[in-house]
Amino acid sequence: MKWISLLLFCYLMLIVQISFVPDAIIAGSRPNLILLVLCFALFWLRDAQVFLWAILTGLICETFDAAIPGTGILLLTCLVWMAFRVQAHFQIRSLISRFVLMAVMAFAFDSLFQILNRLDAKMLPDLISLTRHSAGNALYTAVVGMGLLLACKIIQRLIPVDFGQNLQNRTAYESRFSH
Amino acid sequence: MKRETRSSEIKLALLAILTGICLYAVPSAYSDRVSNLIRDVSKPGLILVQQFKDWQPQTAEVSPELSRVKQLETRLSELQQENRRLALQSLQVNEDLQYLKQTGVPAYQTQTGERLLVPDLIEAELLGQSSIALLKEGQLLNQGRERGVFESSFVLESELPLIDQGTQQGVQAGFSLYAGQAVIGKISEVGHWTSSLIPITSVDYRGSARIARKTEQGLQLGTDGILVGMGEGKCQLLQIPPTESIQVGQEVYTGEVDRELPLNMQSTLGQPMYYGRVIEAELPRGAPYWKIIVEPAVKLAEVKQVSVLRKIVNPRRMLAN
Repeated sequence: MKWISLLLFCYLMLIVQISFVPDAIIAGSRPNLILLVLCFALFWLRDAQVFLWAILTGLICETFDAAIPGTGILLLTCLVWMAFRVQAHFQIRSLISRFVLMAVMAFAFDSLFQILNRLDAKMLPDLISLTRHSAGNALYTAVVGMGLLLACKIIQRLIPVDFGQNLQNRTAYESRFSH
Repeated sequence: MKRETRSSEIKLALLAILTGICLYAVPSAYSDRVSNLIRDVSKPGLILVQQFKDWQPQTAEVSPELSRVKQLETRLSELQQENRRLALQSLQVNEDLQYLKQTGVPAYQTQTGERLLVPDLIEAELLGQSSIALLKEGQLLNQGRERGVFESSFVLESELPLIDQGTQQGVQAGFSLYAGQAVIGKISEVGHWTSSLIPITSVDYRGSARIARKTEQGLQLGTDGILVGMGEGKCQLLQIPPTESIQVGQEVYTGEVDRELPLNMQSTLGQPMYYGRVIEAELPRGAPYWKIIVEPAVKLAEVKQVSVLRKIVNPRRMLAN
């Protein structure tokens, strides 16, 4: 059920990314909705299955960014591994910590993905503009992610339907963390 | 239990890393298959969205704010044109200065001689569908058909737009067409009275073009490439080497010579003319050239009058003889 829901969400995000995001660029920044899918998989699944999502989202990123094959998967796997460890260690649950996690992941992915794919062509823009651009994209991505998380929370409150396991997944964490 | 979780985590992470390495290592033919599969999967959703976008009704009412916006847009476009003109003027002056620095000023005062061939612009109207229909039916030029006063069937049978100037006015195939300082196409077929034109967005259009960079010293023109139409209101600029610094928003001008035309057919005004603006620039991995998409400055549908550029013998030289 979780997998199907995430697959549907991934497909929806992919279509939105291609069709609507180009019209929603703010100050040259655009959100990375595919990365959000991976973040949601991380928050929702909370187990090693998230690496399979890293493969899928990495493939999508490589395909639609005309990137070097494999770079997206490798980068996302490394990032999600770190995020997975951080999430497990700090038992991340609050909206703010998730927002920060999404922003950091988006920033790291955006900048490293650009560096990896432009390094070969020797057309790397200068570091300041690259950082600024990646920061803009990351912030936009995190804001959209937070909006989606909030929407999920509101829908869960309004519609009393149990989707198997909600994003908070209280049972998976130990009780020593209360946030 | 915890150890099992950790073990599966490492296994799946290694699987993901191996997948990435495999995709990097295998020939591109195989990795392309995976990419094509993902593209194919996304296609139905994209088609659905496209249909939804086409179906959306268009709002027809124009509010006063909108008309004010239009006015401001027109003003902005005028100012941009003026800026471009001044930038080109400064480029010309810079080039003259460089030339003088290289060659030095002659010891004696020289007089500028008259050039033998000078560019000459003639005004032409774009013919509407009704006029073309009348021409096709022979209702406009049917009187002199027996004496050869009829329109070339090549022109009339063409699906391309028509202008009201032909061989009678010295128009030849390949001549460039401008709307103000912007290039809109070139002549395809020439009839006695009318000519068909290939818009720059047509897939049949090819022309020499180069990108201008704004620097502190003024406008700097880059290497010549080839501008080809894409058929969807956009053009593509080919053969721009990776050494060029390309950014979205840069302006595209005509090249020095049109490599698609023989030398005797060259029709340039001696100064760069405006094609449009770069809207997408990408340098694919290992590609020898940039992939640049250009949005034309002027759309043919917005133009009623155009200028045809031809070269004529300088009338002053004729009078002097």
